[in-house]
Amino acid sequence: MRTAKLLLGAVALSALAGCSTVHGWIHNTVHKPALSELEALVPAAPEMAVTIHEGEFARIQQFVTPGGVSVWLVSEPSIPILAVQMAWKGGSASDPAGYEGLAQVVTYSMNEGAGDLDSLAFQTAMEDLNMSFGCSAESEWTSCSVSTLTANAADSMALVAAAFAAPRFDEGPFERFLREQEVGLQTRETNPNYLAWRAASQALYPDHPFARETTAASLAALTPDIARQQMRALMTRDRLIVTAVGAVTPEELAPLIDKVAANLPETSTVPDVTPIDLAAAPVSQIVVDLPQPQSLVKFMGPGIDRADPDFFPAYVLNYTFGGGGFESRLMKTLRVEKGLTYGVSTSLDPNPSFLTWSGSGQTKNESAGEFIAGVKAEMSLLIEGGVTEQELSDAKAYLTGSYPLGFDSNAKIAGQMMSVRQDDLGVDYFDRRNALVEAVTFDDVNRVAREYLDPARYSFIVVGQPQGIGTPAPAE
Amino acid sequence: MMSEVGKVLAEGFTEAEVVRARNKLAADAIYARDSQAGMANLFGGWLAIGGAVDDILTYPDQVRSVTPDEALAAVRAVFAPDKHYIEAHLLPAEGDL
Repeated sequence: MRTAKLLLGAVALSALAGCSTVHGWIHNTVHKPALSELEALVPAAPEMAVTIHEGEFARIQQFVTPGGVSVWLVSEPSIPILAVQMAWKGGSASDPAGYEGLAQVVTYSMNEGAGDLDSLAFQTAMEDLNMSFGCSAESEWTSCSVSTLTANAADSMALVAAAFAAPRFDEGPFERFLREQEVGLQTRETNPNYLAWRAASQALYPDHPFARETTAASLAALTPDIARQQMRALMTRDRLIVTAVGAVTPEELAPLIDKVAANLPETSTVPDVTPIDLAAAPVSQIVVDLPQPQSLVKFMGPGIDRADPDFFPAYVLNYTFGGGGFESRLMKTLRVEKGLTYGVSTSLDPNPSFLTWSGSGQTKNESAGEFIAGVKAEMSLLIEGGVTEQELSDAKAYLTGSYPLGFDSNAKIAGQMMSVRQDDLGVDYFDRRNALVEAVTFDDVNRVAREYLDPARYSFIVVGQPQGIGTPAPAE
Repeated sequence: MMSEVGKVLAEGFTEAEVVRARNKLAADAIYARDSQAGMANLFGGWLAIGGAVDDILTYPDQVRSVTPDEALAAVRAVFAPDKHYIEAHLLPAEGDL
């Protein structure tokens, strides 16, 4: 029954998919699709209002489906595939205390059986359709993604709809998840990055949901029933946002999305996360003992919100400081000149709930003190002398010149659109972004360096058996 | 291993097995086009050894038209007992074990 009904949709889509084979790879070599061809595919009288943003990087069609789901779609007829991303605000930070791991088991279970298909049958159905579907949970977001051939799009989305309508949460896969997590509880105790994260979160924001971790007890508390309830809380129709790229029109995609969304509860309450204020609690140095020949050094200070005028100056400065591979000050000094490390890098995280400017690198235990002193010395040099005009123009050239590389596949474009939606940057963000980088001045960058790169604002976390750090190195 | 090969040569493939395999190969080829670097490698590699652009563009349709008999003939051409696929048999030197 179900298959017969779906075939009609599949026929329409495969007819569409067939018409672009010859132009396929040529299209993909230019950033701007041939608009005349795209427009030819849109039926004349759509009942759904579609707002079109003609951008430099993508022609984004925004619409709300008849079922009420907000979608951003880039129609890309050159390859007969479709990539769909779905996201809901609210993730593992919403796990009730004592049930850490709950959002993880919910998302793990989403492709482990639905309706009369058990885990194996569901996986086989995905294979037969040559499609993929999976979900994941971050602290504040729950996400699912689908990729399918357009010829199979209707059947693939029907399988996804079944997963949302009647997920099974069978004991078998549930137990498998728990066993995998139990292994993780052991291996994380020798994972330097995990130990550094734990030490920092316990020192800096111990009572925040971001500091919680799964334990044997929290895993033991998880049951399929609790997971089923939490799935209905995390994935609701009112919070669902969708982005898609593929050889479909808005009119073809909307009913497929609605079929998926029809099975979601209308709304739920997911607690908001209180932002962490790192500036309130700097800790100069934390050492975690781990018997190994190397030390992992992480350093973390307060970051900058995207809405703050300092954000882009900081973003450009980060390239020169530690973001730009071999061109960064930290790499030139700590790797090339001093031979202390293979790699050291920094990044800005503009997550409004936890704004950070952080970095990390590994060095042998004997040189841990020298490494930390070297990082602090480079910070001080940037505060005192700023960047050079050449460094500033190199940073801008790289950051603007490499930006289009993030748009060279359907999946990447769907992901880029999803980030813009999640961070609420506006549909024209892709087109504004390089101008925002170009607008950064020499004075902006050097002012931001003075304001943010004071080593005293940073916490240094060292995991290993570091030497030469008995007393924290002075910040000069 | 040889007995499995012998079984395949004797019994052949089912229609369902071949349909499944060729759909997967066609789908993989279509998904592979969603990568610029991948396409550059694919076209460059194939053209360099004398292939044509059209071969790549029509590959999904071609692979979808493979029949169970053709698939079996390919197995026979490579793995049949009269093919000398064992070129060398490496044994430990005296006293190594």
